[in-house]
Amino acid sequence: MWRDAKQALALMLLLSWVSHSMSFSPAGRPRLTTCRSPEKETFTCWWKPGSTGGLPTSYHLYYRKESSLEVFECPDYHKAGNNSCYFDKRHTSIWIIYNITVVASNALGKAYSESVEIDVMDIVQPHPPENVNVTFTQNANSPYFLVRWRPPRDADTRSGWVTIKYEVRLKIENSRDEEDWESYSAGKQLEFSIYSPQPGANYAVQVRCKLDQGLWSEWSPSAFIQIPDNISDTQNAVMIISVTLTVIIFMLTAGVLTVKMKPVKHFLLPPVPEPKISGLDTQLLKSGKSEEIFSALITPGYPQIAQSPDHQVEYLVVYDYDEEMDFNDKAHLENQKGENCLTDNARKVSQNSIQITLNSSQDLNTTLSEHVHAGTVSNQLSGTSSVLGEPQQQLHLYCNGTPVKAQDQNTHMSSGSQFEQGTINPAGLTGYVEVDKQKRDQKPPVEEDYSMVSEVISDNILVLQDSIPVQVHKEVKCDKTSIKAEEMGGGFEPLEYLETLTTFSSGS
Amino acid sequence: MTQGSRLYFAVTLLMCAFATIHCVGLNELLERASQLSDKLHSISTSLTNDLDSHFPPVGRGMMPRPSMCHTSSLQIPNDKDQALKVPEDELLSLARSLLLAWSDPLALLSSEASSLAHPERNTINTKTKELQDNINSLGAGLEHVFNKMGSSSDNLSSLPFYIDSLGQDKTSRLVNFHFLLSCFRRDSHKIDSFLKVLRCRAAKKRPEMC
Repeated sequence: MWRDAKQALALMLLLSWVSHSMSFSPAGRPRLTTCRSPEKETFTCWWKPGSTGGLPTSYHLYYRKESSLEVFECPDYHKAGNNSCYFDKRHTSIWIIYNITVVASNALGKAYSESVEIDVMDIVQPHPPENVNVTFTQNANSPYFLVRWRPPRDADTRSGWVTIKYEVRLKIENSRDEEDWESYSAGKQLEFSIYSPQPGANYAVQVRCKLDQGLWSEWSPSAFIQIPDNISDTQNAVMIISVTLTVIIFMLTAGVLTVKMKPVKHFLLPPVPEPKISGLDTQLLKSGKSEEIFSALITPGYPQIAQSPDHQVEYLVVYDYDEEMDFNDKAHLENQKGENCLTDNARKVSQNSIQITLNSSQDLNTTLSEHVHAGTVSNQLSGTSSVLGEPQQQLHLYCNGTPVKAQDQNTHMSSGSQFEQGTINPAGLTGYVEVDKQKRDQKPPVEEDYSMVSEVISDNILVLQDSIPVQVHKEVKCDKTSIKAEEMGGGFEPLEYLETLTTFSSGS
Repeated sequence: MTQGSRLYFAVTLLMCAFATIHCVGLNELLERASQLSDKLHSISTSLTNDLDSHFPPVGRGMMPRPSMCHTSSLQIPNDKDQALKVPEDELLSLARSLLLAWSDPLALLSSEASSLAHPERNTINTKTKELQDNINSLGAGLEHVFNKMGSSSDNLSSLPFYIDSLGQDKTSRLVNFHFLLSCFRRDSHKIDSFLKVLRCRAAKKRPEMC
């Protein structure tokens, strides 16, 4: 007996030592790692076993559906590999919570994992898209490469139970950096085009997908493509060149139009407004109708015009003692020298005198006549001529150095009566005419001498008379220029002195 | 407005409404409806993520059961085969019933969102308002679809919601908010799935619609 006890003790010691050295223990607690449904119709759960305890351990998965207390065991332990449980279609329900537990059991004991509650709708993660391929197409204008793929297997797209959305990403293979991926959302389509790739680059392309609002799948394996070096992005160059040409042409056209055409010029470069004199019309000035211009300029009070009730033309008559003026001879008109000098002068004077309008009273009449008679005609005449300021009417009076005496004109000039009568003047008014010399822009050829003038009634601008009485001019038939004067004179309206001047200058 | 112009206006309005409803095909209506339902589901998913980002750990363990949602009494297909066997008008009425059941609770959520004890309160508030708008649009759209489909009976299930307050203290308000939102997320997924099946069935000749 004592020997049996010793043997039992030795055996127990041996056993305990053996068990210690071999570390048998009950099964460790397993852990459910993940459950996934690839197509919203089935799902699989995986667990990680705990320590085995050295003994063969078996695992069982039990689940319970939300509404019932009935416990079921996993329908398929093998389809999805080791430590997994595959729920097929018959056993999968969506929108219901599953309570899943894994039990590990070995000879020494059981261990229960933590319970996991899952709803199929939360664990949907499809497989990656398949058959990803990339082709490069060199269009004439826009090179691009096309990525194409197929939907993941087992996803049912035809019944509408799932809607798949895709995402494409690509990067240039030269860099190893993970952040160089460019991602593009591709929606529901099965292909995607990338335009204007870098020439000479080697691209890697990947695609992934997700179902409804579930989890993204893994990225598909990379598809590679090498872009050739010699692609030309001709479309861009052509467009740039054409746009530049168009702009240049447009600018040139606008510039030419601006220069040539007034409306365009006024549109593009509006003229700066200039100061205007009210009433003065520059266009009218240019056209030469001076009477209209100056009539517009007339404002009450300026200039002081003493309008005599009877507008007359008064003449300065010069008498030629030596010779009769030959009005018939046209040639004398042009000849300014020699014998005809005086005649011409006289005629010119008469011509000039026709143009002069007196606005003064008749007080000067006799005075004038006296001076004309007595004094040097030259001065007065020159004064007159200078007043008129017409080059062609310059009187070179000093022909022979002899003073010319003013005398009565012959009948050609007047009705034959005496000067004193002022026959040329039908109204009977005569007077000396003085004209404001500031109006002239020409330097008078001969110095003026006003010593002979006794009295000056008015030193303002003369107002030219109304129509020069025709009958007066009738006498002067042989004088072409005077006839001209007649013609022009016949149409006179009450005029400013300057206006008449301008008219005559343009007329003659 | 004079009588004549009023009449004219009414006639024009009727014609426009007529044209709107009947000149748009069923396919387009369903396409638009499924787009809206997709948006509804995605907003509710992102809202749940926002809530979960800062959810107090104590609430996690006490996740309320989906069977406690007020819409759990509705009999719905629970897998694909069942769903594909359901006739179209029943699918539509299921979707509409679910949608109708959520208009009041969403109003409650919307009113509570602004005073939620959560760091992402503003985002949550905005998204809740967006949910409310979308649900109204979808409800109107499904009305049109129903009229277009010409079903004889309108058997909408009534799923009443009797709760008018989320709770008294901050924590319970937050927990109840989270629970309601999870119920809604599930139901929005149901609506989305049913409408997409419906859409695919209506577009028999155009498989690319699915």
